[in-house]
Amino acid sequence: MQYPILHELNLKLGANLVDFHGWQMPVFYSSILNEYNAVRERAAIFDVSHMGRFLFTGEAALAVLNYLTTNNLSKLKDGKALYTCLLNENGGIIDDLIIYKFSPEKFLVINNAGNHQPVFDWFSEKLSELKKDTSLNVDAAEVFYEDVTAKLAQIAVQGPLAKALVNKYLGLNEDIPYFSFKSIELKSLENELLRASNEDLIISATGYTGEAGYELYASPELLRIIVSDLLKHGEIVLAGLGARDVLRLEAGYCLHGNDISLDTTPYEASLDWVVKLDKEFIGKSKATARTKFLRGLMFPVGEKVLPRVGTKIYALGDKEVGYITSGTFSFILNRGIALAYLCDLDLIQSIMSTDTSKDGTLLDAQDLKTVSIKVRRDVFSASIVEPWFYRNIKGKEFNS
Amino acid sequence: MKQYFKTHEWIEESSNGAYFIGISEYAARRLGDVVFIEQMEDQSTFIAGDTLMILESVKAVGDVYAPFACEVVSVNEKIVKMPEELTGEDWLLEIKPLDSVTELDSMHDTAYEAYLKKEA
Repeated sequence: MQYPILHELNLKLGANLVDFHGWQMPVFYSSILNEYNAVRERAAIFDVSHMGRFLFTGEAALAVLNYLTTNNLSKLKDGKALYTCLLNENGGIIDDLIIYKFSPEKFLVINNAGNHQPVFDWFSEKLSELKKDTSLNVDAAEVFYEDVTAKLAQIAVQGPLAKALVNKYLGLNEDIPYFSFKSIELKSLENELLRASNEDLIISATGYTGEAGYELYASPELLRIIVSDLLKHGEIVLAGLGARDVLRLEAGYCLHGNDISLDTTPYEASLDWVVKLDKEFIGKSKATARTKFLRGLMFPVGEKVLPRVGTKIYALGDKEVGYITSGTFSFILNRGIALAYLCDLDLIQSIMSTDTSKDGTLLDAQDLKTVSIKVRRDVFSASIVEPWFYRNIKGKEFNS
Repeated sequence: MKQYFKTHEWIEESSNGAYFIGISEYAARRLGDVVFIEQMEDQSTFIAGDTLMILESVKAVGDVYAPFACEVVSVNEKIVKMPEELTGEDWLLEIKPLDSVTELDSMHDTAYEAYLKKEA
């Protein structure tokens, strides 16, 4: 069993713990709803030290990472991060990643805890192949790669008050824009205890909750000090995986293992926007293949339906057309929501097309825009929508 | 005096031969925040083992099982409206047995605590 950096604190607070991919993680401390509300209304801290963190350095770091992932790292500016996919040769998603670009010779790659070993092994294998294969236009001899998961830990502080509270605590005067990051020299800060640490702290304006906030990267010891200090504010609480899952689903962020996997291509997962076809990368020829299509489902407001993983979806009465990969009851929207794959290609075609009949009306639009699920003895209808529901990063956004 | 069941309900005598039924604190905590409560509106009488009520939380679905053949006398409307407030202290339904209640496979609170420890 592995333990996240706040494990001692979790035990002390009596957190409800669960084995999450070999990590002893808190599902909630007080309740999922309390912690969810804290993120929506104020700020909350998530210990995400269980995630994988890999450092790529060297002259070929950019070329190699650009070849291994779908999004374009050459166009990315120094001090910015992006979201991307790691594909195998079949276009299947090994993992989704956040990559931070310090410079063309230095990148920090964040991956999901559940895929730590597969991703580590994939990187090792591919780097080894690239070093030997001179036909590829990538000189992999000039790249170094290190698993820094243990020594560089990670927490997230999320919510409308998160950035202001962290800025004030650290004495930061400037706002860090969304998907930008900074490396802060702690010895220049006002806080004496932090100053004494001699470390650098990485702060990025990223997160997985759909609310604004930061992720902080530093040694476990330093992050524990920071968490302890931040918790002295009445408004900030610790939040667990339960709240995190409702929030990320409302925001429409995929969860590997549920919404994306080795059996899904980025185009199937509606992640075509992170696939840049103007460069070469592993899995490129298959990345655009689509035999199913991820969509969002919105159930009627107020209806008592909590869609669950694996539930089949039906169209036009009793035609089975797909299945749910993530589902919950959205607290803020007061309705059931889900991400689901539509597997009926004809149906997909008709949803995708904006064809109208000669007189300008949509053909059978109503029937084809809803699906239904069966829960015990009842049938519930849902609208098919783009796969996201609510975000509040740059102001409140609803998927109407 | 509450009587507990292995399926984590408790019953307590109310009045006129009826009983309040709720779920234990352990069950409430395990379920987490209940998002909504579904009542069995099509059914007026229940046999032992029937589902009286369904509690849906983000994490799980919990059934409240009838400990004996019964009919529902009343429902805790306050909790049905605010299910996230549910604790082990709250009654969910008031049920009246259809036959005389004998030999229930139930436990006192200390026996239930011991049962929980053993199951863990």
